[in-house]
Amino acid sequence: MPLAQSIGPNRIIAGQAVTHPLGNPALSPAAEKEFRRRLVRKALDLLQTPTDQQVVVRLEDR
Amino acid sequence: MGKARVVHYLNQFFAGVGGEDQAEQPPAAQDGPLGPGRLLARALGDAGEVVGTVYCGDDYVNEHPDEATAAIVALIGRYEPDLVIAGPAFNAGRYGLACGRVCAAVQETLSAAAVTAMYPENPAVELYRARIYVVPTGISAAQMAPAIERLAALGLKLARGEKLGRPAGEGYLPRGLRFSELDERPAAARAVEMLLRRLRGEPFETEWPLPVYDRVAPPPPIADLSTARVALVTSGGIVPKNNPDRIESTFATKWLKYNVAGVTDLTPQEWQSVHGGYDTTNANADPDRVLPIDVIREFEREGVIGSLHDEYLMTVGSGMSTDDARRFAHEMADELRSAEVDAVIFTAT
Repeated sequence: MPLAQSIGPNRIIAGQAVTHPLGNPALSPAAEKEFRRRLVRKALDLLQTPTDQQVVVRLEDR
Repeated sequence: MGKARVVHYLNQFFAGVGGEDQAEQPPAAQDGPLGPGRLLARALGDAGEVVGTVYCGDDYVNEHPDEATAAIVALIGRYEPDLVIAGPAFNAGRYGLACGRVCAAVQETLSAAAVTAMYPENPAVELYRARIYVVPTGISAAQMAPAIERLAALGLKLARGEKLGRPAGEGYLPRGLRFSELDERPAAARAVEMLLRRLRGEPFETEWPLPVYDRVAPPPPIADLSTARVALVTSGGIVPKNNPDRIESTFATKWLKYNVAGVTDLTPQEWQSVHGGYDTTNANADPDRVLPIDVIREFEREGVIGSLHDEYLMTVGSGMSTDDARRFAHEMADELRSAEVDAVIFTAT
């Protein structure tokens, strides 16, 4: 995350981990897919959010 | 060495043959200096003499590169020079390329030193900087006089076989070569001294310039997501199984796009990650973990987004230089813009 922030994209959502940014192998397949939906939904929300500076979002319960 | 024998390479324009209409001028030679060569002769003073000028049309060199270079080098060789000076080319791309070729060829086949000069953003700089010495100039021939002075000074040093110092001090563009130097003071001492100078507000010089990341103003949000075309882009190295286009696992030299029309889920049988910078076990077990095709398709079906673009764009981010990343990003953006994509979700590892 610190690297992503320093390089400077404007709308950032924290992924779960380097090897599975939009997944979590510790979860059941169904729960993992639900988690992925929430992450991508958050991304879609950010795309609709006005901002004039860098925004960094974390899902509270990743 | 005595008085250095110098041959000057010019294009058709500076040789006085003509402009774009003479860009097909084949290689030719004339004794003594021509055009800016006269300034060069004065700058060399007693230390050197412009014994000949070899010139060629910019289009001719770029259209018959090997043949033209061989002919030019042969003409240069007849003068038995100690030093070959090409240009200055300023920001002229074809001329810069010709100067680069000539200098590189001279270094390889004649026993003469070679140096050229051009504007730092001339495309020829990236191609030749590691192989030849390039003196930075201003953007146009209005800066001819200082460029000639610097060419003469550096050229004479090279001709005399003098060991050069660092680029900034000697007046040539950094070549991207790394040499080991021993400093008497250990790094810790140098670091503390630099810090003390900085704390005292005294000037200091960093030993390693930090990269500067440019900022882009955030674009306005998507007005209506339900009609938007969304594209996925990733640096996570997701490719069709068996990596058909052989993208590199690190230091990737390209970016690619793959069709996902009708694809609703990335399976390990048909997709994989070739990224060499992270353990791809999890990504290979389910590539949606890096490129979330499965859920974005659901959002498309549910009408949350208007559509998913038929292609996703990818590269492998491992070891990528910021220059390459920037270049790829511009190309990808052009691609996405002509496909009328409204928004991108970029996934990285």
